[in-house]
Amino acid sequence: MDRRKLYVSLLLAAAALLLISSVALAQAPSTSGGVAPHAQFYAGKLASSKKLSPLAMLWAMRVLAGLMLVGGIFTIGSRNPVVAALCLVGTLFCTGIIFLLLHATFIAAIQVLVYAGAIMVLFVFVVMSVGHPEREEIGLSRGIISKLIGGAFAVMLLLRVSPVYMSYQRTVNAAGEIISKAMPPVSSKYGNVEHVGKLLFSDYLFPFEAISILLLVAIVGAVMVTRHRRRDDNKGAAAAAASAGEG
Amino acid sequence: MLKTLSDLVPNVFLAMLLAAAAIMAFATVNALFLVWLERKVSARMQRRYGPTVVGPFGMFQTLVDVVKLLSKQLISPKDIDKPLYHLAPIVVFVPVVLGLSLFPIDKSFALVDTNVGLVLVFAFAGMGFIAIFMAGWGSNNKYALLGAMRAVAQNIAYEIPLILAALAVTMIARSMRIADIVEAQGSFPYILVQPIGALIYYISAVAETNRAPFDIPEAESELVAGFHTEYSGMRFALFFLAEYTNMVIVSMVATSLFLGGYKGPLLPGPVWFFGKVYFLIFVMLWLRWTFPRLRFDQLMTFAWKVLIPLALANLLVTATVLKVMS
Repeated sequence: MDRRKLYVSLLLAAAALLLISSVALAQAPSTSGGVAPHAQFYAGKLASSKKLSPLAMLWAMRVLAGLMLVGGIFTIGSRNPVVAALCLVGTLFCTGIIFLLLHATFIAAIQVLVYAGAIMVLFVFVVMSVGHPEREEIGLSRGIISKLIGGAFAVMLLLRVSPVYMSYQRTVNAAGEIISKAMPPVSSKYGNVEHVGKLLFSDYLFPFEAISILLLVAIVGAVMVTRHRRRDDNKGAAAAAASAGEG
Repeated sequence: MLKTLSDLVPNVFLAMLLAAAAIMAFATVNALFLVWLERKVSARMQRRYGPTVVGPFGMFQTLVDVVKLLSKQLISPKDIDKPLYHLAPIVVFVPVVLGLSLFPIDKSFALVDTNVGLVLVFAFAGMGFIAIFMAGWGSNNKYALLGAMRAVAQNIAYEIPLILAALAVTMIARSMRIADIVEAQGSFPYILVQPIGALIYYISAVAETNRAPFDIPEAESELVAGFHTEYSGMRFALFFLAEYTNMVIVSMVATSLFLGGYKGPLLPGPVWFFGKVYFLIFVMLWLRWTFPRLRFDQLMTFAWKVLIPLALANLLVTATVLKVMS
């Protein structure tokens, strides 16, 4: 329990650090051209909504991000595997809604269909097969190495995220109006079926096919592993029977 | 030109409220009607009369039943997982409400019109398992847990042929917008182009709604009532309501993909649309009261060894023909 509290407080501290540092970075004098293009892109996307005002978008984004953070903390902090799995569903669903806010409708739908739907079904199935939470509690002891790796990832994430936040701060003023012309509204085709499909089968053809082969290998491997084990079981049972017969 | 609710009502939040109210009203009235219809159909097939006393043809019987369910005591069993147990009947309703809003009921009207409507329908349908899982796990009952496990296994298996069958249709229509798919079916519906796909879709859809002959998640003779064994009164009624609304959703998808949606001669669009939907639902009732329940291994074998290879072959043939013809 103590360890769990420690973990949650560590996470909260990391989140607070992320927020404070990004605000601090945003306060710093801006240098032109210092923002990564993808950051500009998302900021422009966020600022160019048709139906909701930019301010409403910003608040929707904040609320969703908060929910995601809470869900994420409970996913890794909860000792009950069922609660952890359901919190992960919530987190993934919120991610889907954020994609929707960014007008990436196809990606949003796929996010909910594949992650919050199909993959979570498998997680949940494993949880149900494994057993009851009173007996099966997740251990939370981690070594120093995993903490270091986690810390490194947190720093990387921070470096990646803060430019987005900064550029957004510079694009939109407190009332939510677009004040900078450096970030033009993005084409409305971004993230829809045709766009994603064209990208997948032109620029990203090789990674796409490579991932397909990787998944195929994983499937064949999973089948092989289960088959192998079953044969071993039979052998083991036969050996046990033989030794019992000898005895 | 297709109009959506947000065209008619400019305020986003007002539009959302209106849509939610309309969908909830429709779901409730529809469930009242379908429960009555199910009783009448089952009675007819067993040479009985079914409900006859309350209202004409016993039509208000379900209304009276709702009053009964509302006045019943809500019993919570011992040692339940409280948040999961109490949230499940509410969560079961969310994907249903979301899914119902996506269909064009006429040439000129749909509540929501999006270019990935079809994917969204399946995405929401896939979320339904979470409520079943919460109910089964939270109830602290071995029958409920077994029922939930079966439901989840069945959900994985039958979602694949369902989506593969729909994929063949999107390839022909060249769109994932449901209105475009309906429009692409010119003078003849896609059931003539995709007879195997339509059959695969319909079988998988019946399995996805957990209805007989695929109702092993709640097989009465084995599992009492499956995942909702421990729910009483209105909580049970919410599961029931979701089940009947799910039937409508899968029938609406089938109507839009394979039967030409709102298209038809003489009569106006909504009449054709709902007529086709309720015909498909009637076929589901018919199946339920005709076939015995499948055994669990039969069910899984049928999905993995028959439906999925068939659906893949269907997809391959469709793609080849489309490539050759274009």
